[in-house]
Amino acid sequence: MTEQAFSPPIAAETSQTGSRNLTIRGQERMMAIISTAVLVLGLTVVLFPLFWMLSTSLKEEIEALKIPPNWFPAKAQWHNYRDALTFNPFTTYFGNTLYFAGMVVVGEMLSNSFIAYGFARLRAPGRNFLFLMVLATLMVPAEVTIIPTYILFSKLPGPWLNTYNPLIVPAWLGSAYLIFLLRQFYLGIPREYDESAYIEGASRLGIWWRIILPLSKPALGAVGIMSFIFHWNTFQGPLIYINDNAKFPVSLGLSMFRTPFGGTPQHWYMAASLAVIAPCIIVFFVAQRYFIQGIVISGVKG
Amino acid sequence: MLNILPKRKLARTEALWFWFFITPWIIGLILFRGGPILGSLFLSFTEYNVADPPTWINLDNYARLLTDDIFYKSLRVSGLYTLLAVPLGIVVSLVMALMLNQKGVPFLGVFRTLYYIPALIAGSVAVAFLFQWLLNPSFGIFNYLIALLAGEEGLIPLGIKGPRWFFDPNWVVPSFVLMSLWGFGASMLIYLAGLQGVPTALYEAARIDGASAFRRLINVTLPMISPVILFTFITGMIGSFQIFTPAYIVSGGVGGPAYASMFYVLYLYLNAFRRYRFGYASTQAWLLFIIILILTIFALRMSRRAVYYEAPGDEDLI
Amino acid sequence: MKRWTVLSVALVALLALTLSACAAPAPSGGAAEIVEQREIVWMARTNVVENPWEQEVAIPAFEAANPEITVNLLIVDQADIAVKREAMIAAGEPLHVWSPNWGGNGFASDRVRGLLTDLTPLIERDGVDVDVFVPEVLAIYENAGSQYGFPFLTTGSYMFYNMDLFDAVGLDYPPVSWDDQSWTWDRALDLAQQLTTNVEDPMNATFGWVEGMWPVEAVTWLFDAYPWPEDAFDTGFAQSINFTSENAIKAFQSRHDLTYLHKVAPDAAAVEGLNALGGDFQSGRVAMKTTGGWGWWVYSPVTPEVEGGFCWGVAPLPFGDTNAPTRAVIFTDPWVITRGLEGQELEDAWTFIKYLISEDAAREYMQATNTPPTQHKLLDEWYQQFGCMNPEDVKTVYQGAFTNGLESSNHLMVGFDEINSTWDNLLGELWNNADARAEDILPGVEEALTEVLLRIAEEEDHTFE
Repeated sequence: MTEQAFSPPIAAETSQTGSRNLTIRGQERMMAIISTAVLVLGLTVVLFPLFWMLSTSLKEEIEALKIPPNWFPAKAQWHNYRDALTFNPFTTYFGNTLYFAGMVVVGEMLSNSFIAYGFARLRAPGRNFLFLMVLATLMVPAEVTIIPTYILFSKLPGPWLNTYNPLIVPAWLGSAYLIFLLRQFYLGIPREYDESAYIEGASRLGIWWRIILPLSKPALGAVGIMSFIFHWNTFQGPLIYINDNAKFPVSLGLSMFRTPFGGTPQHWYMAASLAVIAPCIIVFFVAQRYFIQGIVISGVKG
Repeated sequence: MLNILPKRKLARTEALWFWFFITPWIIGLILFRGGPILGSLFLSFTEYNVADPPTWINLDNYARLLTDDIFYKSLRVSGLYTLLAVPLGIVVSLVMALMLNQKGVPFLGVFRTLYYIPALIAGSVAVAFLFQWLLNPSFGIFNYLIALLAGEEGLIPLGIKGPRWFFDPNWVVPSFVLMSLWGFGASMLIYLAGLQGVPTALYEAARIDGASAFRRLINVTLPMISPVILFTFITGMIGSFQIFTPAYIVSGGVGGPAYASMFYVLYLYLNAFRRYRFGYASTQAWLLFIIILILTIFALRMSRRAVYYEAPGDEDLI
Repeated sequence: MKRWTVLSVALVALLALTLSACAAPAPSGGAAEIVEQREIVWMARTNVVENPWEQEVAIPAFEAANPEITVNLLIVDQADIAVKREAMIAAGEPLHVWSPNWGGNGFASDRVRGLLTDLTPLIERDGVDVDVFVPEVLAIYENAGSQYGFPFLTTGSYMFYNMDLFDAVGLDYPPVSWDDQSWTWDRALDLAQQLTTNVEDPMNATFGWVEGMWPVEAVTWLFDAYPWPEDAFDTGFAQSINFTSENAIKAFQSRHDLTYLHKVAPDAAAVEGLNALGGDFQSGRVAMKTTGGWGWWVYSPVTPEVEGGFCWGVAPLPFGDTNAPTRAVIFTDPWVITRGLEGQELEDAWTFIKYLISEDAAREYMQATNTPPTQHKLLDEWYQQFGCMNPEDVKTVYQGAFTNGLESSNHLMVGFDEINSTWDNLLGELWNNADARAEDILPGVEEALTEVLLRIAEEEDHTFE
């Protein structure tokens, strides 16, 4: 690895140093090494639950309840995965969830980046009040709007109940949380960029599309990841609106293992839980590549 | 004087553009979100058990709430939780984001992914059960480690005994805070995204000036990502006041022991869906709304001094 | 100028396209459907043994017999079932057959809310033979001359014990007769003391006795200190609850002492730990457990043949006081029909209920789930299912609970959730604190409960005679 690889670190150094770059570089390398060590150690904390889920998922049903527990299964029961995922039609559930989460992610990325631009960059009387209204919609606990919302969708014309539409369509019309998030990111983008474009004759839409969006790639990446993972796992909405087993998302599929009085088959439940989060891990791994420092600014300068 | 007209016209065009951009949100509010919210406001003045239509009872629910002991207890539980969970959550996820943003660290993508995994499963039922085990006074790994390190026969024999976590009313809220910290990945992700937007030129300039990493953190990084910190602070506060699922699972919907896990929204949920007092639950919701709204406005006003926005001309922003 | 026009048009078009696209694939009322086809909606709970029975046995059999009716099964986990049910009822969405004790506030509250159809006229009209039911079990869902539901599952409360652990110490098993006066709390305690090992090291301990009676007031029944007013379970309301009688105090104190004085029982935290790790009884580290009779089917996968399994048996609840007339809490779940259905819709729901209580359907349910049936005839078949116990003993111990028991307060008391939350919160101190005394804590619990009971009665405009 060359020295350049370390160019813009943000690590906290422990001591105040002089102005010689070499010393700083040396300390930065030291920091990176220490950080790596800490990160490796920290993995035990972070990954323990995952290890436990994996171990349980490979046990026999009653073996999973044994005390003291076996750290490793007596004999790995790999067929638990097949059994758990075919006990209910998980292939269908994965397909349903992909459709639902996919539709929502596209909608939320487009609509919120659009709406947030208005709140971040354009002055108008009442803007602050409206923005506060956006936030206010987050402040009423969902528990008391469940029933009124369900009544609304049961009365609205169109196919709503027993479809994902009550969850997808509103997502294309903005989400307060993501509007707020993107607004904050836009506020961090220097205004000179859009102003120079404005003087050159670009329209507001053009500025949003050609300047703001490219400059906020990391933020959009974060929004995409959050939106996908949230909706991949979301439970309450589908619980209320989806009736048919064949239309279930993975979250409701997982809940199908839950059996009263401690009858839940833990080995299957854990196997299916791991299978369900696997796509999220892949999505994150792929999307986090957008988090590379410096692309933002160089993208404009170039 | 001549300039005034075009300026006014400019301002009007800008305002029109503003409305154009927020139109989707307005449509969503009118069609889908506004109605149910107003509906719940209406219900807060009624008695409603679902089986019969709501009956208007003026301010009775509000009066009853103010004399409800459990309501005050639940407000305290959620308030304390918010007070602890929000700042600690910000610190932990920010530190993790900084560590996972160093270019010298190998396999950065893998580390980021692995450290994000807890956030993936943090809200799930499986994890709530797992924490019940990890924090269990008799079987839990936490107390086992505490005994190993600082117990009577531990590495450093201080005779410290692990707390009884979910079973000691004084430790219940800290236990839930610990559980929430484990889901640090969600805010970490936002900070990671925020850190990418800090212009590298600023760091270079600071380095040439000989600023230490600590100074660069204080003078460059934190101000540059302060809008994002404000975001996590406000949404964290709103979310913490509304925390429900972990308490519902861990306490089995009872809120014990001694109401120490009777979080505000747990009590609200029980009133709505277990006791069929939807009017009363709506009243609780609207009181919480007012509390959060006041705190949010306060936080936004305070932030005007603390948060650094790139763009001049945003001084009037909240 | 042009560029943004194009862009905005494209955006609006995209939005419109998506809106129509997501609206498209959903099925609509369907003109192609056969006109005759009618639908009833059946709500059940998630359950890995019940759900396959519903989907693969019950519904196909019913639809084959009634080709003009389709059963639409909604499966919701018990923790969230109330949310969906209440939303559907509020919106007037069709919901025909369900069970009121899953989630929410229990049968009594739904009866008082007027949510349930009185089935009596239909029973009389069709001459349904209600004598097939165990009479005490059927009577639970009758109120003031109206039958509101038909029981499909019932069980008492019992002591489940681990035969392997008894054998290891060389102890005789507990008796099977509920009338055996020698089977006292103290004798159970004595056994528990001989069976307990290693309590200081929970992970490797064997606990003699986990006392897990539920609802928590049930422990007083063993000590002849039934705390409710005479008519409470009939009306669903009570003015008071007696937790401060000498025997009630003794009951709660005895339960506390199992953990802190005799050290044969894990404390509340350790019980939760055992359950978080799997299940206290299923773990094989608990010799005896007194609890509701769901063990009959929940423990059925535990057999000596499987990895980690063992032989288990069932005994009566012990006498805390030799005079105690009722000791067992009975748990019975009924199917009910939502009130307000008319004409054909009501007929279809009723047809489905009649099918569910038919002998064949009840047998299939019993066989699929190992749950005890509610009908005389089937019981004899059910007794055969427990490999480690002989059927005669199963019969004696199983039936004894019904002659020595009463239905649970969580099904019969209006506003049970608040009652339960109140005593659970306030009794926590007694279960978690080694030095706590029942006599100091119970007066406060009683006072708080009385306040709650009066408020519930007031809310429902109930007046006491």
